[in-house]
Amino acid sequence: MDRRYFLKSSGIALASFGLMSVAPKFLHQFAEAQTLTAKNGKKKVLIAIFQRGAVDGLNMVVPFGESEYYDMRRNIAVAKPNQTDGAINLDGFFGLHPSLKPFETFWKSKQLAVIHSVGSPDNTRSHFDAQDYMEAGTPGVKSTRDGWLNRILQTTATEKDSPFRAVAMSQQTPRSLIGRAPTISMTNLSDFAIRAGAYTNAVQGGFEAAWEENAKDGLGETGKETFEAVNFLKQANPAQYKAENGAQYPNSPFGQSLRQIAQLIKAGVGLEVAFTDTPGLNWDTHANEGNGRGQLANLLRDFGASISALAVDLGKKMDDVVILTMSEFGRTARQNGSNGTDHGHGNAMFVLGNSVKGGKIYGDWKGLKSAGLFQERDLDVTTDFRDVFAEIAYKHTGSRDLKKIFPNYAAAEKNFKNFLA
Amino acid sequence: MRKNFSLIHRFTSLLMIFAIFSPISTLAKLDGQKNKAKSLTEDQKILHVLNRLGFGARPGDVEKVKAIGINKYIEQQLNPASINDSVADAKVKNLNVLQMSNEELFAKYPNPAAVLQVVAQNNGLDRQDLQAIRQKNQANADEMKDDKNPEKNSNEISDADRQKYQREVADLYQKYNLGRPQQIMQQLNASRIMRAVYSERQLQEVMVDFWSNHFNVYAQKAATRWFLPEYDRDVIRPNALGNFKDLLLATAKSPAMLFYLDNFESISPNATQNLVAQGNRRAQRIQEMLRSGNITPQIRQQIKDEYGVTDEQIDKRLKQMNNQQRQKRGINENYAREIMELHTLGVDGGYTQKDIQEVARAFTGWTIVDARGYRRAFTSMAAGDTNKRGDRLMRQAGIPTDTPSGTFYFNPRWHDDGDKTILGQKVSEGGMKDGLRVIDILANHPSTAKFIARKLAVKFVSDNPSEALVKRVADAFLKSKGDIKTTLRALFTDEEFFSAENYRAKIKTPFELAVSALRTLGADTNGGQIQAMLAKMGEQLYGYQAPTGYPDTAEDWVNTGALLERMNFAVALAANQIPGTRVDLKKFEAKDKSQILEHSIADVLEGEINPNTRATLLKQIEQPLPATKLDASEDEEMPDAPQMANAQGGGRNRLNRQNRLLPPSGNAEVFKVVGLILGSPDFQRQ
Repeated sequence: MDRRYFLKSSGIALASFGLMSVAPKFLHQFAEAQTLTAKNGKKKVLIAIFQRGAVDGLNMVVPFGESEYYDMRRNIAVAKPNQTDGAINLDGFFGLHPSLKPFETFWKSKQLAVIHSVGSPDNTRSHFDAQDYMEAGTPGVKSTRDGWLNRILQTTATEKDSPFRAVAMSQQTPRSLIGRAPTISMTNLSDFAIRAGAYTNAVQGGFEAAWEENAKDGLGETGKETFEAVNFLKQANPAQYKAENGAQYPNSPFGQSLRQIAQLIKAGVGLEVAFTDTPGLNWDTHANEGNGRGQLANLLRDFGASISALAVDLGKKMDDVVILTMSEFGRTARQNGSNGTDHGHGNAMFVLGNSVKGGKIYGDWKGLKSAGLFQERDLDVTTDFRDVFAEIAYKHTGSRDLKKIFPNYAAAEKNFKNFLA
Repeated sequence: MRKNFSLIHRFTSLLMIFAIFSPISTLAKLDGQKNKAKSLTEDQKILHVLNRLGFGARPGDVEKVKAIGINKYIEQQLNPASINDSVADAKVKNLNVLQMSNEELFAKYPNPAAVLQVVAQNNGLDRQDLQAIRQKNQANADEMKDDKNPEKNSNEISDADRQKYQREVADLYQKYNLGRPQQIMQQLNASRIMRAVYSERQLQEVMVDFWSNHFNVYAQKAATRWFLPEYDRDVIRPNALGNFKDLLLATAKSPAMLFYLDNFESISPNATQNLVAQGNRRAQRIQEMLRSGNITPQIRQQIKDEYGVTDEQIDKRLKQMNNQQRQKRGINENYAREIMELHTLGVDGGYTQKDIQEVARAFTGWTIVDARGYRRAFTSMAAGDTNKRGDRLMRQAGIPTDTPSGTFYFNPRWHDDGDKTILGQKVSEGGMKDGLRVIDILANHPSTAKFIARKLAVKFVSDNPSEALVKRVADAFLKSKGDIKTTLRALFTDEEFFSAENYRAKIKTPFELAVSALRTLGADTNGGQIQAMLAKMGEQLYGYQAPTGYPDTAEDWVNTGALLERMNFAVALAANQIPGTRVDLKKFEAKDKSQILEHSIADVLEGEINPNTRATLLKQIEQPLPATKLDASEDEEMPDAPQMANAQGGGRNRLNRQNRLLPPSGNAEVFKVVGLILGSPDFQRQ
């Protein structure tokens, strides 16, 4: 079956709007193909959220049970639970930042897990390098051309893949998604069209032909894919979308990017990997970070409200969705001279979904006593981030080629933290 | 099977993106060794120079270069002072922020948060009230991001009161004829765009773009925007073709960089110690009190006598000082890391975490006077009444109160004077000379030469320059002690620069695309709305948050969303739908559609078009266009465009408006042809 013929002449939305009985034969084939890769007949979706700038994991998931935490952060520690602007108690030792109040429900219903003290074996404190390493999935190796999410797509490719398999809600393709599996980057679904009013069809036809003629090089290939995607989205018509279950997305760039990911999922365009890097939120809190209130509190409020809205909105669909948050490294255990924190090492990640064995903090905790700190200044890394990524790649996306996704790393089931069922 | 084939095909084409961009290089590949036969024609060389040393050709440019010769043209471009630039100067003449000092900008375009302070004072509000107002303003308080933490138990402020205070802020702006801070960046960005379009000193503008990106500063970080006009005018421009070390030093001392990478707040933990060593009595007292955690009866009595205060007041003050001491003293490593990783040595340039710490020590005390402009906003409005708190803070920091706001200041009291070892060299000059010595070490380091050479080669030659080329350019950099002109001359005279495989092998960045499109059409622009188009295409000026700056290789710019926006830019420009920008396409009009196409190809692409594209376009223009009059059918057209009812507040209306703005004023056939050419793959290359 010719993928391009399919793309040009069908709208996968038909499949999800219950029109299968009248849909042409090739649509049935597409639907069948979808069932091949997932046990329960639907494709799994991974939503990866990158907190660029290095979020302060120690204030995001607070070790309020450690006195050192309060000694080292006299001006910026989050107070203990039950105090004003205090942490939200999780397990008697760790607590959520109070701005993450909406996460509490998911913790209690065991859909939300935390992996703490997670990070890279490479000790770089450069944003650029650390993001590069985490997104490439190869700490210490700069020469890796593609990103780990793209390699997941490569290892799970089928003949009937949708052009919307992987979508980044950003202008530029993020490092995680760079690679030869086709991906789409955009900041707004409504902008994803040729805008020429009455001439739209005429102009788009001209562009399509011009780019198709050049498809033999990489530039033209991308252009061709652009129009496949434009036509595809047009027919899926996500304009009809309404958030469900009373979900309320913040009217922030991040909230809106998650809302549009939900739109794509529900429109049934065949999304498998979504990526957003928290637009509008800068986690690099070198100065005046704040405690239960202040700069970081404001960032986390948007972060928590947006992710919760997405999970509430997706409701039962969360059976097939895993949301994973990540950040390039943690921040110094001690506050610095500007009431902020500098670049550190170990950090915390959230995993959210109905297949998550939540209500639990995963990972070993060496604590904040001087002897337990990395270079006597940062939270140490006890879980390699690749073990977290690998578990998701293996159990959630169904990839069986971990060697390819994490070259030169012995990613294996025995190293999984088993936060996924 | 087909899918497998297509994957392989795609992989192969990815590998060869850069190798087979143009038919010429394809031929070169087929012919193997016979490189000489495939060298560029004279006209192609001229186009290459206009594309790489500048932002593309305007009508008539090729002939002009031909008349004086390529080598002479390059030499002229390397010496921009020799080129008359009155047209560009006239274009930006009315942008008043360009000539203003940081202090004047603080006064004329004050931070609303600073103006709010004035309002608070007028209304007898305390700090906690102010904090409460700010928290309520948060949603739209971009300027306040960087403010101090809200204190606990901040007072309740009713919405009505808050709105009243906001109105008073607005009244003050009006009363004193002040501008909102966002106008600063609008004007600066407009000047960047207009200079790139109109300047005869094209290489200068290309290098301004290059260095602004190399020494990236993000305009959205708190107070940086007040410093960026100076950064462009006094730091980047005068040094863009000068000496690298001068440029590096200028950036190190610039308030823009000091603020962006936090160095202005980096203070030696031993600062008090230094004061004591300098025999400062007040400092001695402070230290004594801090050390004891309490003050001795003698000192307490001494203070009481000297200042006539009560024990209670002393205790309160003591507590404050203790807090200040803890809050204010500390080293920040951010700039120290980035100056080595991103500005000089490169990430593999051979420095360690220890070097970062030592460099951070060397730059302690390099700071900004009144970094957020609060004091200046105050004095400008309070009719000569100086801001006492601001002055007190300055006196406490040891800065003369007549030092202008927003200027660089080396504060010896904050500096760590101890010996440092940086990249194996001992630095023991002391004072500001520590930092100057670091600049010297870094600017002359071989890793820096290699890092800068590679970056220039990627910018001007190809996404994958040969190691040999990088070495030749790095040698020129080292030999000339960082003379940028000499380094560029080595690059432009290298045979790899004019090699056939590098011809039209670079993908334009969005800025290059927009400016080259404006130039080739001879557009009239005020640089206003173009800024929003750049943001949509992914390259807002001064809009890259990370200190790396924007990437410069095709891999980073070629993705579906961005390509679509490039095409939409082409359509909007050709249709005259960009406010503040006008193109006159009359000259392309002709009786016959294929003539329109030939005129357009000749003028817009200088004839450089893939034969396939030409054939496709020829077919396309034969398709009839819909009637140019929009009537009821407009509403039927609408459902074709995806409309997200509430994707982003008002999105639907915006989209409708955009669609309604069309059709273009002129000849629809011409609009279509020019739009398609500007949005074609061929025009994305340079």
